[in-house]
Amino acid sequence: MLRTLNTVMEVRGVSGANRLIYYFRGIPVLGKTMKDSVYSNWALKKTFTVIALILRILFAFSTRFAYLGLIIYLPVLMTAGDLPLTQQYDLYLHILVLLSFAVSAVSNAIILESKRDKYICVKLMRMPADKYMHATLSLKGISFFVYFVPAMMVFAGLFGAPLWHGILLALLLTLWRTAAEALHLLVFDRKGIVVVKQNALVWSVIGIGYALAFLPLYTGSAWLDMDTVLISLPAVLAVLLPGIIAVIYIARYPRFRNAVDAVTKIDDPLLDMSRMMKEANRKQVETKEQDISAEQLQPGQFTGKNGYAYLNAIFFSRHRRLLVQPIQRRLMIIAGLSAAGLLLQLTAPELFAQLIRYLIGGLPVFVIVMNFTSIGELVCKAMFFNCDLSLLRYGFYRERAAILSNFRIRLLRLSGLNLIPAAAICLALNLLIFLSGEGWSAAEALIFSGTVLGLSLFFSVHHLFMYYIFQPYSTELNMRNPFFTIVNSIITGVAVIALQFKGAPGQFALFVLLAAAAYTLIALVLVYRYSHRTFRVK
Amino acid sequence: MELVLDNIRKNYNDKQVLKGVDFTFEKGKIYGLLGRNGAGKTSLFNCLSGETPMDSGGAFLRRNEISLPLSESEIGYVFSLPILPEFLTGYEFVKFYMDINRDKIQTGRTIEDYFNIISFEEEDRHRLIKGYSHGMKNKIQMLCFIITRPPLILLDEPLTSFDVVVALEIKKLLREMKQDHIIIFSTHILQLAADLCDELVILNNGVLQEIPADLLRSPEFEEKVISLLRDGNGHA
Repeated sequence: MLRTLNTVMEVRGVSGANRLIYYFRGIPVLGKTMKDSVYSNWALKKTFTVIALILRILFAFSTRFAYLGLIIYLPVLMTAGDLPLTQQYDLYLHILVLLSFAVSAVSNAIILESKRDKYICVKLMRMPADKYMHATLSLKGISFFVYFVPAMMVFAGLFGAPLWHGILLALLLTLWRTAAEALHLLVFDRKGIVVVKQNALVWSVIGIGYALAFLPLYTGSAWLDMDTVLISLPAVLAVLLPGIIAVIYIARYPRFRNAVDAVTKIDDPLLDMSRMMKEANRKQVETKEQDISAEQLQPGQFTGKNGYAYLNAIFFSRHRRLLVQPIQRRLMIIAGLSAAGLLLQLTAPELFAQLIRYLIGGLPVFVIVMNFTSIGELVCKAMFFNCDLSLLRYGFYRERAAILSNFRIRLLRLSGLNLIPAAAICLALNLLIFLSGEGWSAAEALIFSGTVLGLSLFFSVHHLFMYYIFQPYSTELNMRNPFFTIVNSIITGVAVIALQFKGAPGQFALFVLLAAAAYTLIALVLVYRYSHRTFRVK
Repeated sequence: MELVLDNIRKNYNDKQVLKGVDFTFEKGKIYGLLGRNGAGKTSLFNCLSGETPMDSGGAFLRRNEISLPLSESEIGYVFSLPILPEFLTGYEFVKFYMDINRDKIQTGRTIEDYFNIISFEEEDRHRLIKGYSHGMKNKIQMLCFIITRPPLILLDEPLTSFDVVVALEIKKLLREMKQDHIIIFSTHILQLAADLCDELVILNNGVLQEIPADLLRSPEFEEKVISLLRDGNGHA
C-alpha cells in the first residue's frame, strides 16, 4: 500500500510542479526567464514538488483554523459573546455537529468524487482501483485527523474546555466521516446512486443544515448541554463502533473498480475544470441553432446590404436573444426600481423626498451605474467567439480597411443598443424627480440626461476600443492580456475618484462629457492607427 | 510567375522549426509538401499567409523579373481544420466573401454557379455552417480560392476529409486550375502526393528539399522518400 501511495503522491507532485511552472511562465516578463527545458529538469522539479507539498500542508492546517474560526467561532463570539463560556461552548459544539458531522457527511464525501488524479492513476496508468482507493483513503483519513487536531484544541481551549476535548472531537469527527463514506459506498453498491452528485438533495441538506446550525444564535442558547452529551461514553461508543465497522467494510469492499468507473467518465466536466470553464464561457455567448427559424436562413432576408454591413446585420439578427435579453433585463430592473420609487412616494413621502435629494446630488454614481448598464463586454465576447475567431484567419478580414469598416458598423450598433437602457434611465429619473416636487429646472434635467447618455456612449466606445486594441480573449475565452486588466482598472479608479466629486451637477456634467469626448477621440485615433496590428487571434 | 522563399526562419521558444527555408515554386505546377508530424508544414504555411510573423527571411512573388513581397491578398489558404463563421449559412458566407472581394472576381458567375462547381447540395446551401460536416466546410473553403483565384494557393491536408467521389472532383478541379496558379499541397499521405502532384518537396529538419522528378515515377519512390524523411540528409 505504501508503494501505491508513493506512486500516487509522485503523480500528484509532478503535476503540481508542472502546474506551478506553467503558471510562472505565464507571468509577463518574469515568466520569460524560464525556458521550455525546465519541464525536463528533474532536480528543479523535485524542488518545486517539495515546495508544492509544503504549501499544501500549511494550507491544509490553516483552512481548518479558518473554517472553525471564521464559520463557527466568530459568529458565536459576535452574537453570544456576553454569555458564560460554557454556554458559548455549547453553541460552538452545536454548530460544529450540524456542519461537520451532518452536512459535510452528505456533501463532502470523497469516496465517490470525480477527481482528475483518480482518472489519471486508475484509468490511464492502470493502477488497480482497490489499491488506489485504499491508499488514498487511508492517507485522507489520517491527514484529516492530523490537520484538525491543532485547530480543534485551540478553539476548545478558547472556550475554557480541556485540550483533550479537541483531540477527542477530531477523532470522533474522523471516525464519523469514515462511517459516512462507507454509507455512501453502500448506497452506491445497492442502488447505483452517487449521492454527492444528487444536487437537489445535497443543496437541501446544506440549506437546512446551515439554518439549523445557526438558529440557536438567534434563540440565544443551544438546545442541549452539548459537551456533556457529546463527550460521554455512549456518544463516543456510538461513533466509535460504526467507524470501526466502516473501516472494515471499506477495506474489504470488492468492487472498487465500479465505484471508480462510475465517477471517472471521460466526459465528466468535473474532471477538467478548464474545459468546464471553457464550455461555460462558450455557452454564455454561443450561437444557438434553435434561435434561428428556417425562414431566417432563406436568401433575401438581408437584401440591400453588402459586405460588412451584411455580415453585421446577420450577426446581430442571429444573436438577438443574446443581445436583447440583457437589455430587457436592464429595462426590467429600471422599471422595477421606478415602480418601487413611486410606491415609496405614496407610502412614505418623507423618505422618498430624502431619496430624491440624494439622487439629485448623486450624479457621479452614474459613472459606475452606466458601466454596469453597458452590454459592451458581452457583445465583444460574442463577436469574438462566434465571428472574429474564425474570420480573423482570413487575410482579407485582417486588412486595415476591413477592420475599420467593421469597427464603424459595430460601434453604431453597440451604441444604439446601449442607448436603450440609458434613455430609460433618463426617463425614469426625470419622472421621479418631477413627481417629487423638488425644484427641477429644464436645464438641470438636460444636464442630467446629457451626462447619462454621454456616459452610455463613452462605455460603448470603451468596450469596443479595448476589444480592438488589446483583444483580450484567447481561444478559450478567458482573458489573456494583462494590459486589458490594467486599463480597465484605471477606468474603474477614475470612476471611484469621480464619486468624490462635490461640485455642482453642471460642472460634473461638463467634466464627464469633456473627459468622455477626449477619451473617445483618443480611442478612435488609436483604433484607426493600430487596430490592424493589434486585432488578432492570440 | 514564381514564388521565391528566401531564408525563412521561425522559432517557437527554444525550438527551431524552420531553419532557413529557401525554395522557388513555379506557376503551373502542383507541389506536394511532405513532412512528418511536427516537421513544420503548417508553420511554414502560417508564415506565408501572414498568420504568424516569420523571425527572418521573406517570401516574394516574381513576375517577369519584378519581385514583390507576397501580400495576404495573393494567398488562398485552406486550413486542415476548416474554420468558418458558424452563424452564417454557406450561401451567406459565400455572398459576404464575394462582396468583400468584388474587385478580384471574374464577372459572369453567380453564387449558384459557384456552388454547382463544387457540387454542393441545393438544400445544404441555406443551412447554418454550424451544422456542416468537416467535408462540407472544406468545400466552402475551397470555393474561396475558386472565387478569388489568388496566385498562390496553400492547401493544408485538405483531401483527407473528403469521400472518394468528392476527392476525385477536387483533384480534377485543382488540375484544371493549376496553369494560372502556384498550388502547394501539404500532406503526409504519400499516395495522394504521388498521384496528384507534379513536384514533391520534403520539409525535414527545418529545410526544404526537392525530390527529383524522375524519382516520382520510379518503382522505388516510396522507399526513397521514407529514407529521406527518416534521416533527413540522405541524398537521393
